[in-house]
Amino acid sequence: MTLLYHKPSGVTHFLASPLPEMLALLREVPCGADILAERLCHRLAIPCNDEAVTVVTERLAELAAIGLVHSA
Amino acid sequence: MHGEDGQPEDRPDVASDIGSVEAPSRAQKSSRRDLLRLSALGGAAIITIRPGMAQAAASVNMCTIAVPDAARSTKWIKSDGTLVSKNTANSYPGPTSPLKAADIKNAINYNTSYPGYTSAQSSAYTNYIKKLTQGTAGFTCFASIQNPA
Repeated sequence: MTLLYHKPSGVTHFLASPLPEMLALLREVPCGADILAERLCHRLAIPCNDEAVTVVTERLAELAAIGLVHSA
Repeated sequence: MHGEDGQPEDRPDVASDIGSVEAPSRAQKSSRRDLLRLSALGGAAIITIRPGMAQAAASVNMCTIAVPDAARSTKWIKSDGTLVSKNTANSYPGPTSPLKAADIKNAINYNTSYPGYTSAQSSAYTNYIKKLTQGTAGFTCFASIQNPA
């Protein structure tokens, strides 16, 4: 669990894995869901499959919904 | 697209796997994989906590505080913010209309005066507002002003 305070909205979020890892990767190099899924799997040393891409795509949308990430 | 979500393949031992911090590398990988899968299966990954009484910024600036509250409207406000009988030394009658959140915010943060009132009066009013506690009229508005929203 990672505790995150979003200053612009004044709102606090608890983020469960793999969201903190996703944010860390995006902070290093912004990218889309497919590439992010591959990088996340690589970082966690797990094989990348469709399920991982689905998870990353959906979680990315959730992060966008609360304003922590936005599409370029 | 969401077909995978319905599969009953999540293993019940996931939680205990997550707890094992110093597990061997293989178990670690397994637990990470489970963790990723667990997130896919509909568990909340984000829990958002909002300041209890803070509302949208617009509504915060819309609220007003009567000084003093309606039940004690005949009282005057002393410079330290306490309520006293009228004509007491160093005290002032309350403002004729409730104070606006935006003005209160400025008064608290920048020590500005309320429109139409002297700095001594304004300071007494602000001190009164700062003394408001949970359950008293105007407290919710005061709390909203202090919370980031």
